[in-house]
Amino acid sequence: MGLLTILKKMKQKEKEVRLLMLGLDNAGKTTILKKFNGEDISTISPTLGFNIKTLEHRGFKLNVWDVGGQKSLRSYWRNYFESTDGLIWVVDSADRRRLLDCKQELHSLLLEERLAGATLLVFANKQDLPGSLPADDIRQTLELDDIKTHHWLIIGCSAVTGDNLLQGIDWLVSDIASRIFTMD
Amino acid sequence: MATTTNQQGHQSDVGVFASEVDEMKERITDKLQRRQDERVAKLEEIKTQRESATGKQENADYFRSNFTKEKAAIENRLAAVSNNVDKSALTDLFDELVTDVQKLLKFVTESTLSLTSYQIRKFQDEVYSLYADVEAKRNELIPKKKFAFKGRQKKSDKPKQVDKPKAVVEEVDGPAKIPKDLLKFQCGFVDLSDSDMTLKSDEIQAKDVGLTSLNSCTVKLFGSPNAIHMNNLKNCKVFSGPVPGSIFVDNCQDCTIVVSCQQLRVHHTTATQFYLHVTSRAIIEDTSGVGFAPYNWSYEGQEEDFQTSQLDRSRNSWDDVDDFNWLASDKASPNWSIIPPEKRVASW
Repeated sequence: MGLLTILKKMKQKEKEVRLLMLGLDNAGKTTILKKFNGEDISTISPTLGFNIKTLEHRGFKLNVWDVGGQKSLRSYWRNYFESTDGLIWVVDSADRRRLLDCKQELHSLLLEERLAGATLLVFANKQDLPGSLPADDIRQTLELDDIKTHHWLIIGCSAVTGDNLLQGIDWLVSDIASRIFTMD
Repeated sequence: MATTTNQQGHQSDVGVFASEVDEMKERITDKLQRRQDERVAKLEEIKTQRESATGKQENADYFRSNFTKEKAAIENRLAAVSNNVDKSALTDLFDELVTDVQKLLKFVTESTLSLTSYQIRKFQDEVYSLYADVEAKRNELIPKKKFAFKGRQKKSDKPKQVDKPKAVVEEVDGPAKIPKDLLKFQCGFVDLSDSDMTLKSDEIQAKDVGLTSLNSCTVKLFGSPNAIHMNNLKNCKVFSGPVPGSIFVDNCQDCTIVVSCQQLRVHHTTATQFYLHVTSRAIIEDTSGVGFAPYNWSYEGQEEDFQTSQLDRSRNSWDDVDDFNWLASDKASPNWSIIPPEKRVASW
């Protein structure tokens, strides 16, 4: 109990939040990160390794870890689980063929003990494309309603236009804040 | 004189202090002792309460026996699952099993205080292997629907959206039922051999195009789809206009792929030639024997397509390929090469 109080206080002082962004390759993780940070998104290459960005948002310091989603990199995801406050799962809403892969990867992540305390935000990305599935269909396909172990939310967004990115992150940060920081 | 009196006075003060301090010390020791006793008593009380509540001690032995019991129960149920129950009951059964496995994992997590880290690891591994068993059995009894295309898919999303509320209602009783055509591409070709196919701009504009299981075919996409997914192609030629998103090439052999795109992602592919315009980067994974040359296909209206897709014509990194299986930066990957100019096909 004592240790938890100290940890809470330390975190509160810095208001620092660690977010881990994962998803299949080509989901748009790096694009979301760069768009959110106001950088050019037209030259993004498939992530070989990972990107870290520290963003200031609503008085919080967000450390966002964007890890590549290629098959050969997925086994390294586990190296980033430690002390994650929020998990951002990015889905390519237009890639119908791999939605089942996407579901499996997500559900196996949620069994991870080190992610047990993390809030889950699912970004149904690429909503700007005419062929994309609405967030509601993605919710069903990924069987999100079966998740009882984590706080979660799915939100349709577009990294290209920037739609709903802020709303998603806002929800994630406030959910984490209400768990970790004593609200002022 | 004055000093002496002062000293004396001081001494007597000290004397008073000393006795006071002694007294205080005693009082405080008493108080501390009392508090300690109270605390011990309270702890005792809590302990007995807890013991009487659970009837057992919360220690490693207790955990182990409970864990083994729970695990055996799940295993027995899993072994008892057979194919003669109907499908929806089977899905329910598996869902229950998975929930129980998750509960078991939670139990391990909650008991970490009374376990050594080795034990935690061991129990977790047991739970994970149990989970894998459940999933394996599930896959065996409820095989995943085999994915296939049926020619071109519907062109608009509208009818699906009308159906949506119904799907939600159905979903209430039972695990999520995924509408069958939801997971298919909107346009593309599947299971064809020895044919020539074309798609026009208005058919593919901003859509995801799927090309699956084609043999000795030529596909020309005159226009600007959002993405192209090629799967299981043999001895095919694929041409496409500018793609603002990604092109996936998976499980292809002996193909020639002439495309322009923002990203090219190649997996499990062998002996394939790419004539490529890529504005960011091409990557290969589990791939070997692929060659790269610059994009050299043109068609009427291509310039307009480049403009609408906003693909930068001036930036082409066709010769800059990342191999995810070759992370050494000082030595080039042996899995890909640049096609020598004299061996390139000059025009299509």
